[in-house]
Amino acid sequence: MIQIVVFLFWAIPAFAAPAPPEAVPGGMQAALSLRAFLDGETFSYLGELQGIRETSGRSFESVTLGSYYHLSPHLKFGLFASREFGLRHDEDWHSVSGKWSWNNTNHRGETLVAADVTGREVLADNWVGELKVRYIFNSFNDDRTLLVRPGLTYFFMKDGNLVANLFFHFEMDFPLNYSAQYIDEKWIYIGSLYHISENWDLGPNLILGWQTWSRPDAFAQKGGAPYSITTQTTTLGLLAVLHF
Amino acid sequence: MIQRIFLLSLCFFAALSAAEDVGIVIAKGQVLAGPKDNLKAVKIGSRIEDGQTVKTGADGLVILRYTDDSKVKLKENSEVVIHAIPAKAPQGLEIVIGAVFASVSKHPNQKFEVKTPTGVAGVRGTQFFTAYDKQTWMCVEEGQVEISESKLAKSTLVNAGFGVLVEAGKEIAPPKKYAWTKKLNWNMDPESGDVTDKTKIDSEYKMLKRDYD
Repeated sequence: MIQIVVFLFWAIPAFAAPAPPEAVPGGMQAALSLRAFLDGETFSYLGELQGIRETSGRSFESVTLGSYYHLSPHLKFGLFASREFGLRHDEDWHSVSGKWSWNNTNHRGETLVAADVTGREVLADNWVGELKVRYIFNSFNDDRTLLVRPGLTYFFMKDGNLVANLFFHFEMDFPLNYSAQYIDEKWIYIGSLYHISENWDLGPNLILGWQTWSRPDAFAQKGGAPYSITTQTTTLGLLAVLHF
Repeated sequence: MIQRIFLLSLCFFAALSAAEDVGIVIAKGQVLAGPKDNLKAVKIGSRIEDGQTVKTGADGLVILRYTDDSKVKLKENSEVVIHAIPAKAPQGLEIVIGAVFASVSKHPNQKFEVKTPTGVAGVRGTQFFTAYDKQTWMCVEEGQVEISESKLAKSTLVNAGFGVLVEAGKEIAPPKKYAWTKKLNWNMDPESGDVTDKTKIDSEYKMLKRDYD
């Protein structure tokens, strides 16, 4: 009888449902972004380098190349390709020898392509409203995402010339073929860019992010219950924009 | 009798000649005028003949009066070619670069045209503003303006309070209310106040066109 009780005590953890990930504690992250535009009358070309030091030992780096077609000052269409390191997906909550943990994806490269349309309109004196809708395909796991980002920018002008701007953008990421969430990521971007010269804008920004992780298939197959874990992050960034 | 006929002929040709030029009502800062290759500084009272060029410097402003009392005001850094003979071509001007306010007198059978490399604005009695620097911006203060892209047949009617952007080779988008148009100084009478317009019409364009992400 005692042997049976001891066996059950030993065996229960092995047959118990796997544990979902714990919410990553929030903390201050640091980001650095450099964007360069080659401006033309109708087409402009974009190159971007970005790096983020994230909480819990994570990091994110990306390089992006793309182009905008300006149908008018109010409407532009973009096509982009990027190589990104450090993305985390639901499937990265995985089991190694029965122990569930997050994959270290800091050095895992993924190739993404995106197409977007951006509408801009002067709403009032020096206030510009913007709506960006971007479709993103991640070739690493075939994830398809629709990004919707309304925004508002105030331009400080002097004698008709740009001096600086203040911007507020709210981004919602809609997973189209993955995740149990309707919106799995939300981001708020608040920042400023000082117009140093015709070729050079520089300024700080604050990014508030909410990323939600849902149960991956492998976790469900092991009997894991559905979960959604939201991580809230705060990122202090510095953005430089070059124009040629 | 012969003397009388001679004098009448002189008066007739003098009147005809007066109808073929425009006068300078106000000139501030650097204002040059004359044949394109021989521009000279001008002052109030100077006459500009048909086909001649008027050019303003960085501090320049000039108000011209046509014989039918239509007036145009050139902003700084502008260059235009005057069309003063209605029988030869529609009275008006061609903007090479810069910005012009026009206050056009009403004549039932006479059209006033402002041309730019990308657009043609034709009116019969109205107040409107046209600027050109790669694109043409036009807005209407009073009346109605018919504007068309230089190479496309389709024209657009622009009513008071509205403006359009004309880009080379593109159909004109529906007129809309632009924020910068509210700041324009339409005054051409110095007795009513300052005639200088300090609006930078491309500021809206700069805000919209510059890419950040």
